[in-house]
Amino acid sequence: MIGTTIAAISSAIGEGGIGVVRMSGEDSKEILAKIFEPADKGWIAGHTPLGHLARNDNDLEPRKMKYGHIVSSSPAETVDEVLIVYMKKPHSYTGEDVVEIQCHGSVVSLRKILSLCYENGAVPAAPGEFTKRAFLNGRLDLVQAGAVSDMIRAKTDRSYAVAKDQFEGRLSTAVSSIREDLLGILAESIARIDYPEAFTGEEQDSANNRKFLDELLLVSSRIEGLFASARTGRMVRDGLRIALIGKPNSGKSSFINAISGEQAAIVTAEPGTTRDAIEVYLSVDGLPVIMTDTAGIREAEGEIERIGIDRSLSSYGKADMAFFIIDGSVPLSLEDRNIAGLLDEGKPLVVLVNKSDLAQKVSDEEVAALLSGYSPPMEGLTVWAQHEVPRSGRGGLIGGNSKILHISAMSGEGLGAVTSIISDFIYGGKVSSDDSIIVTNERHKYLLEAALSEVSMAAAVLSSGDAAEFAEVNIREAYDRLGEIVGETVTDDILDRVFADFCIGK
Amino acid sequence: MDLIIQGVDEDLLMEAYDVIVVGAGHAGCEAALASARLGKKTLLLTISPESIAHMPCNPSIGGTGKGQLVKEIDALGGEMGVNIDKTFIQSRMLNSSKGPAVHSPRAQADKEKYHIEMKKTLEAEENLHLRQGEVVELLFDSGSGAGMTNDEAGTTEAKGGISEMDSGSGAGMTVAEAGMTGRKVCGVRLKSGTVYPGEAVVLATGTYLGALVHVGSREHHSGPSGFSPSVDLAKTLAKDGIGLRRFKTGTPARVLARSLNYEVMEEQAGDDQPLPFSYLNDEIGGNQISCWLTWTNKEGHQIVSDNIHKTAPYGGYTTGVGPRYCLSIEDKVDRFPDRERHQLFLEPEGTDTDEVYIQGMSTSLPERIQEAFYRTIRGLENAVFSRYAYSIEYETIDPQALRLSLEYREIENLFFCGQVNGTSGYEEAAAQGLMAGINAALKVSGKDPFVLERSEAYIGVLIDDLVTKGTNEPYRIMTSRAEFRLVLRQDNADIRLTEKGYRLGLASELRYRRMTEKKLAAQKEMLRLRGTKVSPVAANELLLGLSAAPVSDGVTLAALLKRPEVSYAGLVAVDPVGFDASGKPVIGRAAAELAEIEIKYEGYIEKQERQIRNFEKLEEKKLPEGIDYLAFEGLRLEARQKLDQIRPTSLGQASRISGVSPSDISVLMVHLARGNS
Repeated sequence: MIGTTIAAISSAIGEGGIGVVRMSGEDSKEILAKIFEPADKGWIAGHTPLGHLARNDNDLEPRKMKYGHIVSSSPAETVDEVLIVYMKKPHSYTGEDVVEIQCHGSVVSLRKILSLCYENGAVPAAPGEFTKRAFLNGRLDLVQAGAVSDMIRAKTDRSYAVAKDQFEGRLSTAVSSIREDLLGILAESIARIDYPEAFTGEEQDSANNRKFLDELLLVSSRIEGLFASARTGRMVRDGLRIALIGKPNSGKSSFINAISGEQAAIVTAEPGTTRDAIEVYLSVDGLPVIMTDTAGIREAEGEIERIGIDRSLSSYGKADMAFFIIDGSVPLSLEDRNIAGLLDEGKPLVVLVNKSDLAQKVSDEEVAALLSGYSPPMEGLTVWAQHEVPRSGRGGLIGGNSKILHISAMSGEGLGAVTSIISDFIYGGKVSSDDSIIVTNERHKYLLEAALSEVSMAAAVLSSGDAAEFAEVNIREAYDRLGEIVGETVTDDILDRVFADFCIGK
Repeated sequence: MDLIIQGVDEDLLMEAYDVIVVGAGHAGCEAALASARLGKKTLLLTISPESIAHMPCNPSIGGTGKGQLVKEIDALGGEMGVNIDKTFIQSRMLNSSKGPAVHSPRAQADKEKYHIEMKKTLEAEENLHLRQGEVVELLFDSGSGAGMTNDEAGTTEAKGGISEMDSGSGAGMTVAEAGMTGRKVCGVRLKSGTVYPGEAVVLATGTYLGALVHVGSREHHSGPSGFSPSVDLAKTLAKDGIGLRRFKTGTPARVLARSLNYEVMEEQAGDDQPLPFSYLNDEIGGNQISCWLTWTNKEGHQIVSDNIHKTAPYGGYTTGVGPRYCLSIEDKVDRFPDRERHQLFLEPEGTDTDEVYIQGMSTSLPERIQEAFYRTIRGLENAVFSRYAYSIEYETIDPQALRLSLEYREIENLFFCGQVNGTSGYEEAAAQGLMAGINAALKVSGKDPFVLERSEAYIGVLIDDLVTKGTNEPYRIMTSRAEFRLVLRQDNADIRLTEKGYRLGLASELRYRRMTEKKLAAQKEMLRLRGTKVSPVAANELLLGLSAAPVSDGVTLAALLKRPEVSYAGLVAVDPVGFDASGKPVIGRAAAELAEIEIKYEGYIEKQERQIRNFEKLEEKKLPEGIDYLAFEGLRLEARQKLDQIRPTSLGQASRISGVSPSDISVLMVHLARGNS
């Protein structure tokens, strides 16, 4: 719809050296300002939350590349280093304000940036929509028209192929079933409006509206369930990021070796650092996990050390959860306390008291005291509250969002419990009803969110006492939005349902 | 105009007309009146003058969606609203308990008076000749501006196409002679052999074309209500290459009121104050009759299911496609076996007759079994029958073969409207008739067609649905088909359309003045309501009386009106200025209604207007006539075929065709831009 700001990945699908995310529309600049931190503003990697780009035209000179970082505020993290360019309307491809973000070509990075654009007000571009806008704004003569249409076609064909993805197949089934529910409401609402005489002597409209309201709330919770699975979807698709933190020699490396077991762990060095952080890709119970072994955090003594600490904080900031490894064979030290002081309350934490095969010098109480400054956050609490502490290891819960496990990287004690924690974390929470349905696609996530908001509006209309036909507009919109996920937006099926369910005649 | 068809025996050649309308049902009447009122010399031909504006089925006008259509016809300067206001015997506003977008007026008509009044109007119309005659053939012109003899056309099989009809001579051209493309209609031939030259022809054959009536396993050629069908024309149209298919509909039996026991039925009275359909009327008379509600029962259902194989559809005697929203009693029993009863309404057909229509109970059971079934119904035990139920199948064209102007795409100056286009209902027919009549007149004058958008009128929705999406069953308008229905309301059809009708020359000066006065009054009233404050004491007295939440400060009348509990009429307690001594709005009912809705539903209406502006952007992108879609690089095959078949006029219309994807639309955009540069 013209008037909205659209965003899409404009570079070819698949891994490439660089990728491009493009936005077009009145808000593109404003959305960029919310997610882009220019390098020349004194920004230092790893320090969050981040300041916003001043909304001043001088800061974004049209057609001038600018270097900086895409950042998200919640969770506060740096997503990627990027070059951005702004094209002021009408001097752009679409004739609208256009922003292009050039980032690293990984799918993960592209998707994350796109998702940030959506979170800040952009909507997904429909196939060919940039071209459509270019045309509507009279800009199309600037491009090689034929080449564009070929590109559109290629992209569409590819998206057909993508649709066969198995996750999407399951999602499709779930979405179709939610649509069925909406269809039932729509059909009855339409039948009541268009054939009022067929409802003579039946339930009154006001009573019926309450019934609709109940049904809508049910639909809304079902969409929410799917929506929540988007988080799981990302982890399944991209891998769960776990940051290992702890003082040097606490056993982080041996822990990695132990947990990855016989699986061939791929160890890569994060490039461009002096004190490298190691990323280990491993499969835990068939799930991709990216474990980051940071350089170790200790008192900064020199400049090099400083960078190492920043690196560690940065990988901690990017992680979905953290394993804090403490050497149980020696008493807690200042270094442990320093690390505890740096913990982010928003990040789920597992404390692994390592070397349980040796004589223990650290008690659970001491660990609890160590973390006393770390008050459990609200977000993510439910993930843990629903699951028992795995019995296979000794340990206990601290608050809701962190737990202590005693392990031995040497003997293997407690490693099964760690595996369970990882698996629970990925599949935990709201996806429990049908954890085989996982939303992996940012566009789907957006559409689910839009459908959810329409359903909520419909419910609000019905509760405010306005007539059902106003709510029907929103219900239909939700129905169409969900239809976009499964590739059906034909409205005739609504009438089919009306005629199938209601006995209407003259 | 000198349209002469050469080669016709001069005794058979009649005077020429600008526009010839074939069929005088609800579509034909509107078409002929519109054409004549636009100054065109118009001929209206009907097989039976007694069937003019006849209602062979239910004796009512309006209903959900349909009522809006009638209001729109009226706003443009059509006749249906005026005629029903003259002849209604009961009136109700359907859905009045719901929001204003779906309020739909419906009136019971006195069938006979409706027919007589429409006939009088036709007879009185200048430029219009109403005449009896059965059209059996269309005559074509190869494009030179006049009909051609066979010699000129250079064909060898001179009269092959028409001799079968024994219609006299080789005048004009049949398809075989002129070829299938580039044809233009130039007149009609009657069964008597008489030829009327005409620049444009509007076909409004209703359910008469090739009509076959079924009762039980028997069938016979007949139009509705025993009127003569139009059988020969169906044959020549098929020969002319016009694709036809059979649709079916049904009508219930009629019984005499004196034989019914209303005591055991539920009364359905009209509204206390009937509201007019026509914007020309402020007030109309009162209700003269009530309708009655009763129910079927298991005993009756048993009779139906025992005999269901004796009906045409279940016995396999018909291939006609019937509508799903208009189920016969056999369909109801068959498809909803769990329902223990079905409701029916008894609707008097007029004040000069004792006949009563059994709404909701159409059937094609044999007459004897019909009788047994109907008499199981409470209140109908001793019913005396005056007409039995039947189903009727008839030829329709595929409306996708039409332009949005209702002109047949492959034959210039030939228009189709009404039930022959695959619709159902008097109102749908009249709406198309009006548009076809207007467009035939405009075409003859060399002017651009008059097309209403989906965002402007239900008429636009109706015609766009037909032409763009087609229909596989008799099409009925529904409010749910109109995506912009919060704006397309029955109270504002005049505001939406009368100016257009006035500019065409169809809506009268009086109509236009009444519309502008109402609009102005409503606008001033909205300003006043927004600018007038009420003290919290007075406001709370009103609100608490309605069990609504009180206010702490003074509020404007507009703010009060936005509360779901408060109506405009309810403001009388706090707004002495707005109402006269009898409690009626000073600015009049219609203007007050408009102001009320515009304020009360402001948020929803604004949202819809934004949607309309977005919608219109694509509608404004016009697609040129001559695109060769079949050879169009970049379009998917299905899209090429669909676009070639429907030939949309705008990108918006193209995007509504099933089988045309968003990427196809983008490809078309690219093409358009390339063409412009």
